[in-house]
Amino acid sequence: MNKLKEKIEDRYLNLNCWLVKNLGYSPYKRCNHCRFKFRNCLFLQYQVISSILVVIFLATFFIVEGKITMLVVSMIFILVIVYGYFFNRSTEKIVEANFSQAKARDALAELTKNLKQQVVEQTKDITKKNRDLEKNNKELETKNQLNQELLAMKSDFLRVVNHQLNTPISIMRGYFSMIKEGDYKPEKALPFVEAGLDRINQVVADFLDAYELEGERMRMKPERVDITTVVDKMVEEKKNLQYTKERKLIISAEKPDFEIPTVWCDIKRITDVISNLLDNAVFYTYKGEIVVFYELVGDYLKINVKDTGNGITEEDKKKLFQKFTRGTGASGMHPDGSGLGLYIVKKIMEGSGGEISFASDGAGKGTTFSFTIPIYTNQQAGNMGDIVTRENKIEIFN
Amino acid sequence: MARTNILQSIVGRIIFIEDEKALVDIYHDVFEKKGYDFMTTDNNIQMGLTITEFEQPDVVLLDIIIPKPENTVAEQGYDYLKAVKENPKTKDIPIIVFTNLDTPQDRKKCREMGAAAYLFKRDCAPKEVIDAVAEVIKRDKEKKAKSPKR
Repeated sequence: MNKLKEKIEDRYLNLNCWLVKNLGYSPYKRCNHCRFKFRNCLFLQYQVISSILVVIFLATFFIVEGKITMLVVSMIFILVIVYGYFFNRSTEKIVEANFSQAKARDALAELTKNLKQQVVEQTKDITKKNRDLEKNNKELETKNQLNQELLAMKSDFLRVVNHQLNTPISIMRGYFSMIKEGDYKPEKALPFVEAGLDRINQVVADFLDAYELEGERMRMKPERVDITTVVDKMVEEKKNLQYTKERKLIISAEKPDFEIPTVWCDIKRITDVISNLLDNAVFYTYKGEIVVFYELVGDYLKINVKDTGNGITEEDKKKLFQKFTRGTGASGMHPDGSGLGLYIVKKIMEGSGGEISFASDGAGKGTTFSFTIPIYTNQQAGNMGDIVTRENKIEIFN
Repeated sequence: MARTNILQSIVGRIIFIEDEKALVDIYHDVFEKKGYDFMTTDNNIQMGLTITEFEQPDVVLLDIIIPKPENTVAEQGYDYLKAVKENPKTKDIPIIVFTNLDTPQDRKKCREMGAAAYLFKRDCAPKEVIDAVAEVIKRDKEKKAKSPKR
């Protein structure tokens, strides 16, 4: 389209233009820069007029006779030539001035164009930098959030350490000072000291499990386990809890109408799970009973711990398995909790191939916690591949 | 450095690299009762290395987290283990790592650095430590009997 336009305009261009001739300036460009339009081009007009005059002179030369007339005609002809010469000179000057103006305009246009380009480039640069900044900002924000979470966790941690670790220490210190002063026989204090040590040990183990296994699966050492003995043992143990006696809670394990199969799990870990769930049931039940009952679900044995306690509110349900979280009003009912119990229970369930779930009709209506364990089959013993084993406390390398 | 000179027959000679005085005291009694020649150093690892080279013990019980004398927490146990295994005079002495670190990475690191055994300090009662030490010495002797020195 542009080429066609150029061609058409070429036909109307004055190819004898002074600029074209003298400076090798392309006609198209010249006419663009010339203040005069093609129709008003002075050179063209001059050329047209002079050629007409030459024709008229030649014609009169042949037509007119007589010396005086000849002289007049010659005079007019010479005048035309002279006039043309000066006309040409003056127009050259005008055009030259025009041309330099155009040149300046050209340079200016070029400059503006460059400037524009630079501005565009710089704007691009700036927007890119802006984007980077925004990204950085976002990163900072997330980091900030993480920091805040960490801070919150730290305060939780300190609170738990204060309570969970310092309490047994103060108990043991008390016994020791009594022994020192001779008020107390060491043998009598031994069980208390041992219990305190166990408690500290348990807390430290919980902490390490919770922190070390962040995002990982818990290490397991599975074996064939008769789960009823574990459950019965834990039920008996929980009957001796202070809360159970104070609140006159009834804890029992229901006998199902089917034969309970042996299961495949880490006995220590699964004991922790049952103990934890029973503890929770005892801690958060003021009166009533706690029942453990079994169900068969496919290849799994489902164990349920049902209580008549104060249930779980909708709000608490969301953060139930997070670490360091405790239910609404939990510290009023049981001040000793670390908020790690259910978090660890969930980790154990993830590691042993089972699932944990809970059901509660809401506050004050009791809770049922259920978890599944794979039923023992012959293959499992040979197929330890994907189960991460828990290291022994003593390991002698070969 | 505490040293027990026993004239009676010695079950084994052991160096305990540990900075915690209370723990050293407990194990000093325990090992002495079992008939071991018991030596120990504090947090000066350089001294520990010199003694190890000089005394040529049957086994070394090594803690990992040993603060430096200027009281900065450091895992000097690894430095010691590395230095012992690099020294041709001490590289055959079995080293039992006895630490409260209990990550699989630490176990792997100890195994790779040439430790003979790994004991998790928190869960080990003194009796179990002694059994483990005896086991390591027994295995070491068997190993050395199989490939006698030139």
